[in-house]
Amino acid sequence: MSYLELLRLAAPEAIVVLTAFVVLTIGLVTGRREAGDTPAATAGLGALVAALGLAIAAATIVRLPGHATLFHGMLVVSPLNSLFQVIVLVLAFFTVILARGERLLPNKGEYLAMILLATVGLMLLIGSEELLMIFIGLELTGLSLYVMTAFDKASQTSAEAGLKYFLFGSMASAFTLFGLSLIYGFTGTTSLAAIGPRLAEQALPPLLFVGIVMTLIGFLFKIAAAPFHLWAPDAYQGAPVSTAGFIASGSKVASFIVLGKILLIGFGPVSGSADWHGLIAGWTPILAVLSALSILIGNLVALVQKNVRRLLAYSAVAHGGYTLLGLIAGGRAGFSATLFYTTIYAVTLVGAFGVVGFVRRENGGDDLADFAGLRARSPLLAGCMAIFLLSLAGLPPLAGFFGKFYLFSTALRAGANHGLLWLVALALFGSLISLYYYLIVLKVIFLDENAQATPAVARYDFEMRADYLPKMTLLVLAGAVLLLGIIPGTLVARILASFG
Amino acid sequence: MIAWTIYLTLAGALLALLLPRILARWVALVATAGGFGLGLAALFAQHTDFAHFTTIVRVPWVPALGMNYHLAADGISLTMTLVTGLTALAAVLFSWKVENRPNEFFFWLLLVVAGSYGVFLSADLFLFFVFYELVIVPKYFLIAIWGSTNKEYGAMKLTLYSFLGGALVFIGILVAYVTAGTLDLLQLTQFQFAPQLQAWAFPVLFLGFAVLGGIWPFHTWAPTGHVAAPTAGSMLLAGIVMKLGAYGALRVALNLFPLGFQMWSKWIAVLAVIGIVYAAAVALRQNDLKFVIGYSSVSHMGFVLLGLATANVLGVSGAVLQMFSHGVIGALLFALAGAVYYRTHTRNLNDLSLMGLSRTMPFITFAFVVASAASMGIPGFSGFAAEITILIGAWKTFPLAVGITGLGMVLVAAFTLRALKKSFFGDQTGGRVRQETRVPNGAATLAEKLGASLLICATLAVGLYPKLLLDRIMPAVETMRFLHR
Amino acid sequence: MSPFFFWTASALMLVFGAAVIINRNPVASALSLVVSFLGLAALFMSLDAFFLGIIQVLVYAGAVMVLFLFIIMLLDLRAEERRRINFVAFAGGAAVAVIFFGQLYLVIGHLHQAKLPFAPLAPMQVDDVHRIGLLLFGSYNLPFQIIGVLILVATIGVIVLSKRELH
Repeated sequence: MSYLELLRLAAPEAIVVLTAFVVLTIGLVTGRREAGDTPAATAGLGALVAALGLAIAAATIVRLPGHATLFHGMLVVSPLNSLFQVIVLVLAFFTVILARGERLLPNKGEYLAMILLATVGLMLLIGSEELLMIFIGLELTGLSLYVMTAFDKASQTSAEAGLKYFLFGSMASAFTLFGLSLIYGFTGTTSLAAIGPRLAEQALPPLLFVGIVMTLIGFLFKIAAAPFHLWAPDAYQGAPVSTAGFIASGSKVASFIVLGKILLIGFGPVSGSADWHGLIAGWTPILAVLSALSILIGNLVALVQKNVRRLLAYSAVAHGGYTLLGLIAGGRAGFSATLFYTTIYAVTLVGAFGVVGFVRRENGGDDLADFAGLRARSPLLAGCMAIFLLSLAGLPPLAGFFGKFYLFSTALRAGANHGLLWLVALALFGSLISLYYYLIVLKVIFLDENAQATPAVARYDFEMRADYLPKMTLLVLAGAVLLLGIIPGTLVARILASFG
Repeated sequence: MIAWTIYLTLAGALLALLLPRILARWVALVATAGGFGLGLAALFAQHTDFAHFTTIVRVPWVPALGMNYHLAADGISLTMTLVTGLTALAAVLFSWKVENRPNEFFFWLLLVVAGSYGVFLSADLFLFFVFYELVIVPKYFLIAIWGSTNKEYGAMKLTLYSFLGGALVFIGILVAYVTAGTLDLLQLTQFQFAPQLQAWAFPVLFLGFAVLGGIWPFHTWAPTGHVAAPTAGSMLLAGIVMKLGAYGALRVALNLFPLGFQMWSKWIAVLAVIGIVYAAAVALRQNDLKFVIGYSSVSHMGFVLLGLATANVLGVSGAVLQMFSHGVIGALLFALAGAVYYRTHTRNLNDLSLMGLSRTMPFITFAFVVASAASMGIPGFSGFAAEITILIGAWKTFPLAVGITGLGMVLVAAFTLRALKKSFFGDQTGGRVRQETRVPNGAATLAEKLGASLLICATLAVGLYPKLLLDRIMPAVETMRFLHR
Repeated sequence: MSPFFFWTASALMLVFGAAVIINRNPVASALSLVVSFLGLAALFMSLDAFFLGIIQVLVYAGAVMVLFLFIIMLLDLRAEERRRINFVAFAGGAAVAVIFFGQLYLVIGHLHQAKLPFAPLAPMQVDDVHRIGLLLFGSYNLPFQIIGVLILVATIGVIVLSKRELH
């Protein structure tokens, strides 16, 4: 294993890190003023370079060899990993463009660099099948996201959200690290591929179960599954809008793919079963209970939210619960259903947060009342938001519907004698509840009149030229949600084929 | 050819949204008239196989999961396509004067119509469900934005009930898909599901459909939704959307799980009969004209369910005929109630009775008399033909039900006459009409006249010559497998 | 490793770890942390990882904690000192922890595998600086470099978040 080969296989990550340095330098050299905002030229240049770097990294991934493994799985190049690294890069790309709208943020260069470094963490999470690397990736992502969450120093909620996210996050990391050390202690290896066979061959010491459960906690925290979701509402509400979008999209995709790999590759032999009449101990029943909890808590608490970002946060908890269904079902089909769902969910949420960002900039807030009469002010944004929310509610012909169909049918097929029907029925009941609160948001957008005649903050002109690019991005995202619903076959086939 | 109804309507929806507002209604008119024309041409074309669910289009959609874009048609689905086109055209004509956000209005309206066409023509369960759910959200917006009394409540209630029904259907479809490994309706109707599975899967699936079909006790969304909806919305709800549930029950639930149907059919009959009598009794006590019609819809849909429950050719064919018939009559009644409301701004029967509308609105009164006669089941109108077929069919299986239903029909006549008299023929005791409540602009517009005449012609044609449709429905019913056991 | 040594060092760590949280005086907290780190270093050494133990003492107990103390003394932290412990929250948290451990104890106690003896630790020689260096630049090269990025993130974050904005 030569350094040259390492550099070749880790080139995408290296490119993103280098881009982060360049963006940081741009911010340092040109962005210093006496006071106030980052100059528009700096922000624009930084965003351009960041977007370019992400695009080049994605192009590099495409040109990587089909299969390669470095250092017992610390860096694995496979079609699956490459596909999802590209997806994460695309999500980061959209985040960078939409972050352009956040004019009130100081230190734009550092902010963009943080997005890029968080992306590196996500790429490593996806591209690694070894516990040590996964943990470092988790930490890199986590640290960047904590900082990004607290970035808006003018806002107290941002600081609070950052602190909360940080405290919960480091607690969860501590649990995960302890769990990983137990697993390492018993199996003597940190490579996922090697852990599976060791678990299968020996009688399992109970401490190992403790280790497995503790490991899961860190990832369940990342995907905000109940009861590890307490940070999510504050982070989604308090963080800068683009950060919240990135936490909900990129971070979630990467966490699900890692969670799936750890469970299905590493802990596969101790999966157990969550069937109604055939409960077998293992991690599946644990996940099933947490999934049910997430669906119930997320949807029920979302019902009473008055802030759209908080509402999206609680709905994210519920969606995390749905997505877990695929992992509970297990196997290639279940994993691919999870990956499909989390991907379209991420695309949808980046878009939804993009719309929230626009509204926030115009009205100075993102409460439900601030969305009143959005249709009259900007039909484009209102239409996009309708597509995003209805997709989240799982209505055809949008992507969310197909995702749910895929997830639920796989889950139902997995259990013997429709054993997982209880969970599927619960998930459908959750969707019913969720339709109510999504419709309430749409009702406010399409029916209510704008109550405040004069907004608190000086109103930005909605058709400003600088908004052109973010708006087109939103349109593209909405189009993607619609297209992925009408012709989902391409992505499904892609994911299935990438399992090799 | 008939598949173009879907594409035409969808294209119309998009155009209606994007073109200037003055053009929206014309686009909608062209799209719905086109759909109606296509439906008419397909139903009365020569050499068509009405007996079998014949494939029109079949293209792989998501091969990895076995989904196909598969459309098919037989006599039943063509009949339903026709009533969809008819009602949609009339609905557009009756909403010619929508001034508030017309682009969106016709967009949502055409989306409902397109989804309904899709449901009636789908031969792939996934596709079927996509179209089935596609109808839900447009209804919400139609009612919540353009509706009247208590519109947000009515819209939300209707949407959640529809979605609840959809969720039950979803479970049923998933179970069928996972067990049989295919989504193709033609293959699924050959598949033998285990009796234990059918015993629980059938009621789940059937109930899901029946919620949309207005089965008692899950009918409460229908009256509130109808009352809250704008005229065109009520017409589509009564004319098409409630039929989606009944059609789904017939096409999917009964054919997939025939054994389960056998086990549960008498309970369906019980619920249907309760629905007929109960809704008619409630309608008798209502003071809002649209509530009366809304409950009458539930009552009439009870006949459809009763017809399905009989599980014989006559009863089921009668049910399909009743779907057509009630689609036309219900739409006509709601259209006229809407026209009255547009002019008087009230639907309260006591207020209307003071206005003596029969003098100021001659055409609307005439049409309403015809519609009431059809609704009561007077011979010569489609309602009679359909209900008598259902009752003959039911006589063989549920004689007791026929007796109780007779009581229901008396009640139907009673509340229809009451509503007719109160709303149009006024308070005749004093024989005078109060001057200040006279309505100045009582004459029906050309569009309204066209729409009403269209529906009246349809109900008369089928009423006078039911073979027109029965010849196309019965062969299709005869091939269904749940009859043969 | 002698059990006596293990228990002493672990108890030292746990007691002083708790003291970090319980002490209201930040200086006392920081010093408790030093002692806790010393216990950790002792554990490392008892596992024959002398190099790690020394590094633990030098870097954490030494350099990092000195910086900590500097900062604490530069800041005015009396407010923190005056704050009383919320005993309800404290009792609640303690109860949760006790319940969790009780449950763990019961579950593990009921499994028959719990009666099996632990497998002996594999003998490993990682105390050699030379070998650690080889590992870090050999098969652990990638994580080593990524940790560099991680530290960069932490640095940027600290500077950005603590910098005073001019308004």
